[in-house]
Amino acid sequence: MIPAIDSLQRLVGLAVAVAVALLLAYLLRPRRRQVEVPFSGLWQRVLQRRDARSLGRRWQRWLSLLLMVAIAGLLWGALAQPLLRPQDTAGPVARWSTVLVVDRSASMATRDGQCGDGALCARFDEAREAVVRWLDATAEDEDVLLMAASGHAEVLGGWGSDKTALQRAVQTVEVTDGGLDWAGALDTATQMLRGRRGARIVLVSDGGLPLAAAPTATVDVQRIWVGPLRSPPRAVAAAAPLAAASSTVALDDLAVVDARLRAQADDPDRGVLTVRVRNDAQRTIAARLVVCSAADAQLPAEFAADRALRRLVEVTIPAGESLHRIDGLDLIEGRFAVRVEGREASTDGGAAWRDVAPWNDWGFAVLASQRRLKVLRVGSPNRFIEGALAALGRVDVVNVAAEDYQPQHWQAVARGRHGIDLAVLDQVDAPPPTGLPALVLALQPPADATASARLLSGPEILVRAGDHPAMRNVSFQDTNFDQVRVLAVGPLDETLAAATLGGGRSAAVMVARHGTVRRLDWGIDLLQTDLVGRYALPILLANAVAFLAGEEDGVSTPLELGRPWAVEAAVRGGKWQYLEPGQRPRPARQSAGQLLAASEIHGLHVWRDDMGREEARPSVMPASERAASVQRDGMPHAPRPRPPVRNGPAMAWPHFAVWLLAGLLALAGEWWLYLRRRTV
Amino acid sequence: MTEGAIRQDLFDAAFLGRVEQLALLARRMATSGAQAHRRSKQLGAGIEFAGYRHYADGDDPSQLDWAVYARSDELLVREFEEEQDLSVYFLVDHSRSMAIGPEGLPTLLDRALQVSAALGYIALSNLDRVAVVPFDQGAAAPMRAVRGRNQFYRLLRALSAVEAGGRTAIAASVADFVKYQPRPGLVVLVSDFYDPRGLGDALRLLAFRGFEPMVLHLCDLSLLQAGSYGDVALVDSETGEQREVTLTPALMDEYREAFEAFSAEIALAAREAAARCLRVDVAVPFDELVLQVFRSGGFLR
Repeated sequence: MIPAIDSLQRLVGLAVAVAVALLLAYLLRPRRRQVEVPFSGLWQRVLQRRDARSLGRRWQRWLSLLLMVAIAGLLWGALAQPLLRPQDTAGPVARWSTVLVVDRSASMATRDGQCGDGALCARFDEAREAVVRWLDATAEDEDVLLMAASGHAEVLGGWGSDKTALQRAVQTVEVTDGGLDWAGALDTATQMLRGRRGARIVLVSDGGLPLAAAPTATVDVQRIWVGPLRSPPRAVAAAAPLAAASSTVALDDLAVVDARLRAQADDPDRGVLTVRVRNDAQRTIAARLVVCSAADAQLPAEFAADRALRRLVEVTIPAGESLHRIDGLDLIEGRFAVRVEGREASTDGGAAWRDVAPWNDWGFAVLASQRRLKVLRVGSPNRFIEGALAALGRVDVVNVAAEDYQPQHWQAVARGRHGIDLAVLDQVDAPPPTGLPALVLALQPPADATASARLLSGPEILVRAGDHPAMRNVSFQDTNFDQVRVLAVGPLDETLAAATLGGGRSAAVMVARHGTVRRLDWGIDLLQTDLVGRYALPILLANAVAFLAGEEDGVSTPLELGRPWAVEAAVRGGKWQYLEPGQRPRPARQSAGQLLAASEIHGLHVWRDDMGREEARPSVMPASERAASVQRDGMPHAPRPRPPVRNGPAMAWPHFAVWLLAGLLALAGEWWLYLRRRTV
Repeated sequence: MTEGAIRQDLFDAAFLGRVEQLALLARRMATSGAQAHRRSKQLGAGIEFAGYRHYADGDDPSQLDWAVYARSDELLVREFEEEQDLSVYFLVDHSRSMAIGPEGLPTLLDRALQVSAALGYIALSNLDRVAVVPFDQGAAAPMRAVRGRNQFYRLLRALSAVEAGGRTAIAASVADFVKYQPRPGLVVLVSDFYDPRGLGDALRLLAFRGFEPMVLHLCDLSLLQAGSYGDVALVDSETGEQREVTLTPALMDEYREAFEAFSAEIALAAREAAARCLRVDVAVPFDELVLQVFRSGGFLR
């Protein structure tokens, strides 16, 4: 802002006066008494020593240390900056981030709006004008996202400060004939604002929206009314319909007993949160469930620091315990916290929410895929199983050799506090621990089993129950099995895959239930099949682990599409050929290259790494076995588009040169301090 | 060095009388047996028998000991200790810092001149050769050494001509002094030694050239007490450099510590060069100062 001329003159006059006063003070300052000394060098030594002990010198040393740290940090930043630059290059940090939500529900077509010239117009036309005026009035550095909302919310313009484009965009919006999903619109807007500073939502609507649904915890919601509520009385703004009459119960009567989270069966990216709430009061209480999510938080304090409001759900909680189900939660973050808040009447007659007993109002739920499991693995070392378990990334394995395995011991341990979740028995001539879910791989049946073993040689395997959680996304197509054991299927057991040979079909993979304990039987030996080199194995094992751990809906494989799956494999020279693009197949181990061998059918390659270890890799993965390519119903899976990349903590990496320049400046400062240290 | 009038303020009749007494006292101290007589390290024509050596071409045949030849059939030459007169050089610092002294008392330079005169008289009485070499940043050509008590007035005139001025550079001055290749002898360095470069180099050079250095550190201990405290500008007497400080008792304590450390450095440098070192306060009367020199030993033996 440029000051007025008279004030500028006053400013200059003041500056001159101050300068004159300073000059006079300088001229009239008391002169020091001069004392002649024979040798000032001695005094120099004294002052130098005193200076070295002085606070200022110590401060200089600290400053020097800080500068050195700064130099290191800045130079590190300068060098690492190209590596750390995020894929999503966010623009400059905006002071405000606003989602402008324009109501385009059917009511907005009502022609009782008032346009700029005073003429009667549709409420939506008035809303358009309001949006244009609002955009004109916003600051240049305000980041705006424009959404139109009715039954669903639609983003009209992304984050950016080009107000003209947004004004053009709002002109293209038309009114729909549906209602307004206010909660959904706010949920979407809140998600868009996550991680942004100065977040707020501005709603342009004709009113009648529940205040209770506003995500007051994290986002400021402002409203621009159009239509009859253009100048809303306070009562209207504060009014909030509630499902139940207000009551003034003690708020610590409510507590979250348990919260469970699982992915939706039809959409693994969406989750269902089941909340068990206890109401100790002897009456029904109107309340709301506040659902938050976080990437890493586990505890209330951590959620308080790093959480994002995901959903506000009004509920009526009867006395005693009740279950409440919240559908459609986006599972971008798998850690959820849910809090129950009772309602009490506010002084102005509206609704107010308060939480006075935070120690028991919170419940936490972690997505199954983020839960850690402890697996007891019995059998000889088998790199395929070890590799597949390790690939899950959430399993702690306790390895026990077959000869050391005593079912009774582990049965006791399993019942103790060692926390074994499930057992994997690979070609072990002993039953799994009683009462422990188990995956049993065996060509030979256990000694105590009554069923006789029948081995099929060179069979084909068919997936019979592809919709079972243990078989989801698994295909055995074109897989070679040297031998398969025929399983004896009981009345409650379910065959998941069958071996076919000569027209007959016999169970080879099945689910067996022993009471409430689950068990999976695989009548195969992983050393006698090329399944181990295929992507199906880690998926199959991931499904098995999830199913046995009681995760009903299964856990989709943690392997991402295209991620290499590799385990070390024993190579049998006679079975493999060396394949090289453009070359004729040659016997394995005759090549000097790293690629040692390949299976004839599946493109299973065996590689040797620099350490001399050999690995089997499905370098060419059959399309039918890509994890996300097949859904349970056999329809091609269309991955849900990821939401827009969040702008994170609004930090843009400065340019390399800025880091470098800052580092050099700090270096110069440190050098100056160093010289002072030497010369004083 | 010009020889002008003798400064009466320094070398008056009373001074001369006390010097005479000091000479008698010194002679008594020298012959008391406590000190050994100075012996020349050179062999030559003397009366004190030193030993035999084998005859070599060019030796004076008259020095052959024929009696020994008759007995042992070996040609041996008798050697005697050569008696030499000692050269004593007074290197007197006349830099600007020496012109300072306690109020009502002689300055460091005046005291240095008086001490040099007294010691010079004693040396002359001992038939030694004495020369005065004033120095500041460098040393002028030494005056022609005088010998005998009757030359004392020439010594006084030379000392009277010395005036304060210039900066102290001891090493350069000593280097100048040895350039004139004076006869090796005793060098008495009389100075306040306020030289940032220290004393060590000068003493090492003297010792290397065969001189026997002696350090007489004159100091004004009244400077260690502040007249008044407060803000002052300390002006270096030689460089004119100013340094603003606030004098406090604590700062003066630190200054005293620094001065003691400085004195210790001088003593250490002297010890390293095998030189005697004596620190004397300018407030001490000159005759007492001379006696201190004698008591410390090593001036004349």
